Amino acid sequence: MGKLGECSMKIGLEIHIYPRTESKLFCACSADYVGKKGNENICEICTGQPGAKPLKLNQTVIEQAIELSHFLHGTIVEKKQIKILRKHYFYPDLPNNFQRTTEPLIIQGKFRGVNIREIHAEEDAGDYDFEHGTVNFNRSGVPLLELVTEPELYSGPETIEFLKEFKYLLDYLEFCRTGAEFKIDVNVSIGAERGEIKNLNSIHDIEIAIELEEQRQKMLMAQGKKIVRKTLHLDRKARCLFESRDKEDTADYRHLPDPDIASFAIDSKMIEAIIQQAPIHPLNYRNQLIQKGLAFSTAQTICSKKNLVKSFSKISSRCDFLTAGLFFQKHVKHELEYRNISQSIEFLNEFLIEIIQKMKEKQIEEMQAVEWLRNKLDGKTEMKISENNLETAIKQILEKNEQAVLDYRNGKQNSLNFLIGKIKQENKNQKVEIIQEILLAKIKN
Amino acid sequence: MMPKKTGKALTELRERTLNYLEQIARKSELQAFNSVESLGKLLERINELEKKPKEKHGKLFGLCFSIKDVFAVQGLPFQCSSKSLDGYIAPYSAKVVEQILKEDGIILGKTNCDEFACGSSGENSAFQTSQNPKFKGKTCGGSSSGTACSVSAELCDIGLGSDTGGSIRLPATFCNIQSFKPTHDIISRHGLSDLAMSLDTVAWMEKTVQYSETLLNLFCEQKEKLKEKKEITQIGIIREQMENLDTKVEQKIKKTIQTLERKGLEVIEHSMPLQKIAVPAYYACMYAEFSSSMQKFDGFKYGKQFSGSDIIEAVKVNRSVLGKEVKRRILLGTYLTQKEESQKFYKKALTARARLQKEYTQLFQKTPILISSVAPVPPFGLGEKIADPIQMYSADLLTVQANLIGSPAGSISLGEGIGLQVMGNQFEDKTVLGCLQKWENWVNAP
Repeated sequence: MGKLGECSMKIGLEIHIYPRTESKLFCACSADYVGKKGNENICEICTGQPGAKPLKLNQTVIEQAIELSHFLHGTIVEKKQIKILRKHYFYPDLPNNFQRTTEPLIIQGKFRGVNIREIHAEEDAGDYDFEHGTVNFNRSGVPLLELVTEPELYSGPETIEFLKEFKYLLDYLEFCRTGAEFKIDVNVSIGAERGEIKNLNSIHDIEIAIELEEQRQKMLMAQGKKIVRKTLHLDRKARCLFESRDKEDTADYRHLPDPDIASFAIDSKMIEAIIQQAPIHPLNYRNQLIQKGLAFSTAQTICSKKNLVKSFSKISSRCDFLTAGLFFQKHVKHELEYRNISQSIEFLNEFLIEIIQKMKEKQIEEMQAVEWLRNKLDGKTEMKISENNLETAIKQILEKNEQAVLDYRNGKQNSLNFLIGKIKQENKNQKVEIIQEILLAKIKN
Repeated sequence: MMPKKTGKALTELRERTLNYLEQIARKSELQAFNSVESLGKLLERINELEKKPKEKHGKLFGLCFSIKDVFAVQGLPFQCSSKSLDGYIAPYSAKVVEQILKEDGIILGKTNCDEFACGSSGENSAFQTSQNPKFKGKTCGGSSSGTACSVSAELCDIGLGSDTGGSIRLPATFCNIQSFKPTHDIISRHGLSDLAMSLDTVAWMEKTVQYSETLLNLFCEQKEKLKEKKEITQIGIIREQMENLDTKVEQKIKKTIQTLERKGLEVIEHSMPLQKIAVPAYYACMYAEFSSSMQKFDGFKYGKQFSGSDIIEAVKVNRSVLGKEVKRRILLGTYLTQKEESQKFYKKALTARARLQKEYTQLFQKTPILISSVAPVPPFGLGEKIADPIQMYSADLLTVQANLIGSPAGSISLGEGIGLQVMGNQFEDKTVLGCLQKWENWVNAP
């Protein structure tokens, strides 16, 4: 080991993701526990009443793990008998005092160069209110996917970048439950042993925790003390780490295959069916878009949503690429979000090609295109002012303002501006360039 | 207090049910029940059933059940004969209990048993010790002691219990009644408190084999897996199971075998030296699973609240009220499943179990039905074996096999607290039941 300051930091993550499912992992209670009254979303199974037996494992969670694996280049464990294990420890929020977890579903994945050791599914615990000594079991039994990385992140900022990109992927897939995305345990070591900071649920907290833990370990080293394995928690207010009361470091979880639930299978048919339906990889597609000339921020915005990517990938070769990119970035995403549209927008493809081309050819202005898009989304009749209509409108104005036309023909340049102003007043969405073009053609006749 | 008889004649249903209730009160010294349904609730139930037109009667119409205190019956105390569940009222009903009620059965109450079904004599109940109604001073056998007692003493029609290593067959035998344990997990265990989940089976007892087929058809959730009833011409015995029997038991079993031979059955003797690993493998598997399922009893959630200065303290206080045998099993199970130890014992036990399964499968190919004594000994006295767990465990010498291999097994009383065990391959429940029905008259004919 090198001297102080030379030692390298290694960071590994255990990311617990709340996948979007209707019901809990082993019972029929709703998995949508957020914002419910205390202990109203419970049954005999998720509160561990004596004799209560789990139902079959919620298959959706396995399918979701397989989908996620596809984006992490993971190896899916194709086995006939994947066991569900009981992990034993005592805590008031854990109704059975053991937690059910599956054997690994995914091994050897990779995300942004960091190896992913495994992903497995497990049930969440309830919510223990330490001050009042009460437990709310609404969350008990809600499915979690735990993703474990190798300790291959080497600094705080690198870790944050990794997590931001990972969250970007999850958001794109609309993978997580609304109101509950993930909680993360961070393992930090600058020497032989590691400190584990548990239950962090924002990227900001993780940033602080890594910084504090690095300082703590460096301090110990500077004092010539040995770093021992520790489980820590972040106190947000005091901005410090405190040791947990329980002796998790030495725990033996006595893993035991659960005799109440049959093991389950993952086979190639199931994997194929899921992967076939998987959307485009957003990070790969983002790179492609940047290589083709879009700015990072433009590509980033387009690749943040499944429906945007799907539509963009279909239309961008059929209209002006850069105009399309900007239009998607500035308007399409916003208009969809405003209307809460997350499903496919393929029905817009032809329409988008048309207005993007019109914009490119300066037939319409950006604001006109946006208005058309809004009308299209709101199901109003499109106020489609075709060039013909514009021509008619100009013709009418010219007839009403014969004097101005004559003045222009006699060399009065101001008259042209007056006419353009009149026309623009009645056709606000039309581009000045287009009006002028048509106007000139008419006057000159 | 029984309701006074009015001039109006009681319906048969009402008379039978109230008679049972009266008998339960009269024979309270047998200590069969931990809790009895209130008279008001029972009358309500009778009224409800009486109103039903005959064509709408369920399959168990008017049959009175006693339910072992390891099943959840919504609204009734659910205590598993343990102080740790003192005051706990079941907030839901076991799947089988729901089915009984749906088919118009009547639940009279919860019967006593060994604490969390840990025992072979009923003496490990934290509340009371059920007395053998047929043999004074003897145990009822366990763990379903009160259930056997209630059926034998005619306090109900059917006793619903659980069988993990003989917990139905042994007490039925000691109390001179019949019992049946189906193939493992063809019946939902939802609502049955755990002893060892891979061995626990919903099972029942009755005076004569009358309703077993109805119950099997009603409860079974995997009907497609059940094999059709076979006509039996050959039965097997395992030599090693005939050794070490009490003389009286041996005589009775041998006599029974002769009876069956006289009726035209060919009896074939097999040898299976592996028999000696059955009991150790059983106990290791059971301890391991039991220690896991007992984790939840931390004193925070059910019935009486146990408190302490912190979590560990509270769990300690709660666990201090558990009986000796329950504690022994939790400790041994925790030890066996520790990381360092699990390879040495638990994994070995699982291997032994798999080997036993394989050998039995081969045997069943030769003879589809195996018979033996239910217990190596006749009913023993109260207090006789309770101090020595090894002696107590040996009462299960011949019954644990059916649980280890998950196969159906039943018992026919031969009188004097001795019973004939009939065992078939997995899913041959109908064939085993067929034998029980046919043979119960043969073997007891003078």
